Order: sequence, then C-alpha cells, then structure tokens
Amino acid sequence: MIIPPASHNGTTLILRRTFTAPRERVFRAWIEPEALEHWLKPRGMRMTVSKLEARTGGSFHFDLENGSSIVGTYLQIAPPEKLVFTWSGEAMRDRETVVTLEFLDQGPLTEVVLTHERLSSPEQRALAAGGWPSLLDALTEVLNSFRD
Amino acid sequence: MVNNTSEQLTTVFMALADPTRRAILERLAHGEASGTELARPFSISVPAISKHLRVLKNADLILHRKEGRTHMFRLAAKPMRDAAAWLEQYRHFWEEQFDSLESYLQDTSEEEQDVDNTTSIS
Repeated sequence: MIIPPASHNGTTLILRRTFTAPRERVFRAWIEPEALEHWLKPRGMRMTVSKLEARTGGSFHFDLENGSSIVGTYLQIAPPEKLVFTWSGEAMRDRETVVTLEFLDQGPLTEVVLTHERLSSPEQRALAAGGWPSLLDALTEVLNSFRD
Repeated sequence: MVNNTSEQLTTVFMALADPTRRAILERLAHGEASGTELARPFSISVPAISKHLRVLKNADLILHRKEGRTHMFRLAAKPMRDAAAWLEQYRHFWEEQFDSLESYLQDTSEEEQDVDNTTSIS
C-alpha cells in the first residue's frame, strides 16, 4: 500500500486507524445514515442525515444540532475498498475539501487510511513561484509523519 | 534562481530531519513561544534548544523577535501557519470521529454476536 506524498499546492492530512471489524462493516458505517447518525459527531454534536445518495455523483447533507451543516458530493464509491467525497462544513468556515478513505482488508481487522486534502487557496497558488508549495508539502509531510 | 530554490529546500529538509526540530514546529503551529517554553517538553538545555532554533531560523521556517530579554519564536509564513493550524484542527476532528466509530463498531459487533450466540461454535 503506497500513500502518494503530498504533491500539490494545498495541505494534506493523512491518518490511519485499525478497527476490530471486517472491511464490509467498516465501509458500511460510512455510507449508511443510521450508522453515521450513531457515530459521526462533529465537535461532539448530534447530527442528523437529511440527505445521503450513496452513489458516485450523489450528495449528502448532514445537519448539526447547532443549526450548521456539513455537505458534500461522493466522487467515488467503490465498496468495500474506497470512498472519496468532497466535504465542506459551514461550522469550520472551510472551503471545499476532499476526503479519501481507503479500507485495507486485514481479515478480522480493517485498516482505514484517511486522506483529507484542503484545496489550495489563490494565496497559496500565488506563492507557487517562490518554492513555497514545496515548503508547504514538506511541512505537511513532516507533521503527518510526526505522530506515526 | 533554480539553484536558490533547491538550496533552500535542502536547508529546509535538513532542518526538518531532526525529531526535536519537528516537535518545535508542531508546538509553534499552536502559537508563539519563548525559547524557555520550547525547551520545557524536552530534557535538553536552553543552549541546545537555541541551536535547534538557529537551524530552523536559517531555513526560514521560523521568525523571532525580542521581548525585553526574552526571545519569542513563531512559524515563519502565514501559509505555513495556516497549513499547520488546519492540519491540527482536522487531525483532532478525525481522531475523535475514529474513536467514536471504534465504539460504534464494538457495540454493534456485540449485538451481532448476541444474535449468533445460539449457533456459536467458538
């Protein structure tokens, strides 16, 4: 399993976690509304799935108890291996970001590799001439590797 | 120009190669700190931390200013500070979601096992 290094002008977070459950179950937990409402708790808040079209090109809409919401579009749904979606949360005052989940089969266990990319801002692109993207990529890599 | 950039990157990568210096950068992602504050989590002297800070400064990764006799340090450029803050915010966010997913999978697995218990072979 090779994780591509951060090679763009944005910022990339990579996290891994091994779960004690077979791959199909872990995958389903990310696209079934009942499951998501049970465990996905942005900033500890209760969340309601008001829309979830579990197909490539479909979109989702999660309402948080403070009135804000998280919205996105599924860019790729390939059960039980890979899930890619855009993610933007009003609560986090964020631009659109992209989350990629890879589910690695380890028998009774499943390793999940989460890659969360922040798309580069015009400001970051403007710095492209000065070698800053490479610097940002280097920093990103370092901060990601630091807790491995 | 190309040489300057690649030279700069070499300096940066060398600065980042050391775990103590990476820890310093991570600390600075949370905000400005004095040399003494930066030395505290490590069992090394202030002169030793100063050496690390000099390397980071030469690589243009951090900036420093004097406040009386105290040297204060911060991450160098706004895009880098932003990137670091963003990473920390989402790292925290997803770690929490992973914890929650872990308990959810455990709870629902017990339910499945309860159902299976009647025919269980192990």
